[in-house]
Amino acid sequence: MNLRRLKNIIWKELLDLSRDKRTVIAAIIVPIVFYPALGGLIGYMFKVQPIFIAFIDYDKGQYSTELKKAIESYSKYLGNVRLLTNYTNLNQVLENPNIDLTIIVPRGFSANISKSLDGVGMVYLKPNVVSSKASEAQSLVELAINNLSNSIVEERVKTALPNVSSENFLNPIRKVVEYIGPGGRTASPEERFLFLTLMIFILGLYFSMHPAIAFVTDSIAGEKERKTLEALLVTPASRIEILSGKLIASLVLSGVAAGMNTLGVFLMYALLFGGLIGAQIPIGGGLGLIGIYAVDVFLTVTVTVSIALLVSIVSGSVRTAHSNATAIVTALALVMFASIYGDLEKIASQTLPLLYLLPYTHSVLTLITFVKYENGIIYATRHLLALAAYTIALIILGAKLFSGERILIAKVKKKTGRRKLKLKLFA
Amino acid sequence: MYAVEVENLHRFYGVFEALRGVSFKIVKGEIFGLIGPNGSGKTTTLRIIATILKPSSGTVRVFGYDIVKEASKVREVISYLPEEADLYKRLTGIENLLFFARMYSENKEEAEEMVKFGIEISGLQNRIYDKVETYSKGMRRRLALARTLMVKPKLAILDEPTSGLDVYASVNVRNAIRKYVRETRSTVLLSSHNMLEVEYLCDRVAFISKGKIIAIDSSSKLKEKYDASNLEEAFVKAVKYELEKA
Repeated sequence: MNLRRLKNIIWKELLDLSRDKRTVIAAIIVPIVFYPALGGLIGYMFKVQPIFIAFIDYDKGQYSTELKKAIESYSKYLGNVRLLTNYTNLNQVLENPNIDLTIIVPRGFSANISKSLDGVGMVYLKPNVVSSKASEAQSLVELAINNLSNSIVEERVKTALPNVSSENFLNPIRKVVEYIGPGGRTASPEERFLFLTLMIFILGLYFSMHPAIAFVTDSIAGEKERKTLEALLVTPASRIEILSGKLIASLVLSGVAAGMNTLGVFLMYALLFGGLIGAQIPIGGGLGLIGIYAVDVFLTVTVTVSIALLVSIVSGSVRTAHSNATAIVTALALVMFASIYGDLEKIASQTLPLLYLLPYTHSVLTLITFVKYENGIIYATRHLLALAAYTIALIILGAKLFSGERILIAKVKKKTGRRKLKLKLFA
Repeated sequence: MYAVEVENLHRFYGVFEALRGVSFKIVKGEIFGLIGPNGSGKTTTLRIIATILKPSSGTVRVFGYDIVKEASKVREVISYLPEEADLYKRLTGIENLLFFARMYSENKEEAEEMVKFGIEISGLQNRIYDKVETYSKGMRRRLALARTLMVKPKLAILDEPTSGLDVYASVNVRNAIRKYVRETRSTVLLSSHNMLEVEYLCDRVAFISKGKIIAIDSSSKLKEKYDASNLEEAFVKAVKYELEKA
């Protein structure tokens, strides 16, 4: 390997890259602008979207009034809840599609509760299936109903069993919830959000891969398409020098993209939680998780670069290379989305070991095992090494495929195929 | 030792035989032209000599080096201008030259000398610091030619050097090649279907048709042999003669 030539190829690639505004923007600007904006937007929309609850009171008795008060009281905790009490029948409510939940308190509700010690009053809850806030509204109303039910039972216990503790009567079983972290230690409050944190980080991993695909496909297939590769292949630079130079330049971009991505995801996290619960929740897993995430992004992007490199070598044009590489990477990255709905580590180790063959399984497992196990760093490092091994294997394969013969013959085959098609059409 | 020795070269693309036993030799310091219509096998021959493609059978030696077994040695003594070669458009003219100069040079000084020579060949002194994407087609071709010749290769391989250029740009490119050869006494192998160009530039010419060399000699001797007033007519008669012979 001639280092002078290698350095020269890296110099050219980086110079070319620095003037490719589209790729630079995608790799550097987008993560630190797009991710926080996404987090902030989701949080903001969640926060500002009001909940409309229609309360139709046919009863107008003691308990329907208390229920209304209980709902109003709980609404203060959520904020931005509007309890609409001016409706007199359901038809009026149906005319307003913005109502998230309707509560109907029928006539006789209070009387039925009061008439005996086991009297039951009915309320009807009608959540709007199109509403994104219906389940939140339902939770709020159910909380108010439970609270009212408890106070009614307390009154009844006091009347029927004056010497019995109403609280113990109501709760014969007490539960104590203590969240546990890796190794059975008590988890910190912020670690309760670890699952959500991981989802955000995995999403960040997925977004980090695409700028690198664009750069690599342009670097290899673009050179073919722009007819600059043929002259380069005849220079004294060896195939491995050319490929390594392009790869190292891609890794520089990957490194910068990984840094920007980590910063972007961190900001997204902060803004998202700021919006969702109105408070900043420190990242469970702390700086260690952020550090592992940064390395994970870098190696995930590196594997992606290697896949795109391979696809570019065998593709005839930038468009083909880009669409093929994107399709392959997206298909392989399905494990990232799947991991949102299941514990990928459990599934891979117990039922589907084939998942270990996918490089992005290791991207996800790096994060999951880091937070899941007491010695998470050891498990995470194993998965990071698997990603590095994938990269090396793909580069070696790429170097074997990277020949003038393959690059030029691909075109000839394409033309022959087209000619056959034409002949068929005119036959 | 010959600059280039091509012996019984065959090349298949699947079942299609693009080269059918091509043989010729080029002496050092000669400008050798390969003439033929589109699809006759010119580019395939040049690509094989330039080590990009491998022959299906036959041998090619460049300054004694076998193009298959000693491809890296061959690449150190040749420089190649592909027919549709383009440049790095986001780079300036001088950056393009510098990139290729560094590939062939041992140190900074040598690279700078090459670049100076490249600027001179290209004639783009006033535009050399501009990005290539702002150049006209003729300017790009001159720069591509300069990139090929500035490294003073022992053998320069030029595939259709004036392809797609207008009359003025073609004249400029031809003059640049002639000036370069006069100054460096290098060997040049060029392909073209422009007979005028070949007649103007080449010491010897090979007619290639359907993957076979049908005649080799100087332009004047070929015209004389086929009783033709120009090289174009000589080529047509040579092809006709070959068909009759077959």
